[in-house]
Amino acid sequence: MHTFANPTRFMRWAEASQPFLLALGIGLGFGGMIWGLMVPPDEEMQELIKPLFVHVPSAGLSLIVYGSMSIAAFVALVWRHPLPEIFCLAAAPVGAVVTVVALVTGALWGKPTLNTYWDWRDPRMVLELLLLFQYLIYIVLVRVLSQRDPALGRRVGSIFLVASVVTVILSKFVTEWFLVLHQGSSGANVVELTGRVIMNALGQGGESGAEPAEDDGIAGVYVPPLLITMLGTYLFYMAVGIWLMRYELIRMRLRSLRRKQTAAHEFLAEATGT
Amino acid sequence: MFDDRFIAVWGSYGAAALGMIGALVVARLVLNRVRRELETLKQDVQK
Repeated sequence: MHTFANPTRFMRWAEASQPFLLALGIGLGFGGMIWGLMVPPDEEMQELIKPLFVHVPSAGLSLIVYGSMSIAAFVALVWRHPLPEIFCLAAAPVGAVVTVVALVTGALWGKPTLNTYWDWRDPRMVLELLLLFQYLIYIVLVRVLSQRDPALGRRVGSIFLVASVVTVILSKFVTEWFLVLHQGSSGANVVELTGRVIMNALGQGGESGAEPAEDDGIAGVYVPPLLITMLGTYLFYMAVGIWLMRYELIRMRLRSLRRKQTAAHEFLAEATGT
Repeated sequence: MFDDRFIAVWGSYGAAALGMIGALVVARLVLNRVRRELETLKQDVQK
């Protein structure tokens, strides 16, 4: 853990692993999507099962990214370490992009399945939009405050992230607590079905792999392409995030070098009397 | 031809692919910007 907490070591590790993560992410992500397009139609939803393979990964990732940013912000506030702050700066645009993807795919999927693109009375949809605003507020807040004092900008941003993590917690459980248009969380269902698919592959689970789960109805046959797409999407955006972390680290060092350069120029001007 | 079902399937796949391509392009652009800044600093130091 401490090995990666050192920014120089992190940069070295990031430069070495990033191309592999990116290639694996693109391969698995697009491979999973193509597999998702070729799955047999669902009994109930028919062809409309297909957006599942792009909506679930992006919606899940939008919550995971914000949740991990909030944890990193907490670590940065308590231990005053720069790397978690850099992680937050790099992860915010990635999170905003996946949230937009989740909102667009959800709206397009909602029209034929829920008979509407958007419903303001549905807390899951509204919370996802709120999450997008939170990503944007964090980005703007840090950028604006950093023009005066970068350290202050990052610290205020961290406080905002920790305080606003409640949106992620609410998004996760709102489908269980309230009567909403949006279907229940697929997470537990996917985990259960993954277990069944693995057991089947090992020859211990009978022939229940393709059976729908009791409540949500995601059949086991859809789990492998869903997991592949999720893994690919997560690796892809992780690779992009590492790229942006490198950018933020270099920018931070550049700023520090510029400050030193200016101080050196001022000192020389004073010393030589020019 | 372009009914809600068609738009739901292809529109969502298009949005996901666009999101990935967009993220990649933006990441490349910001990295190129920082490279230019590094070059400028290098030239300043060499002066």
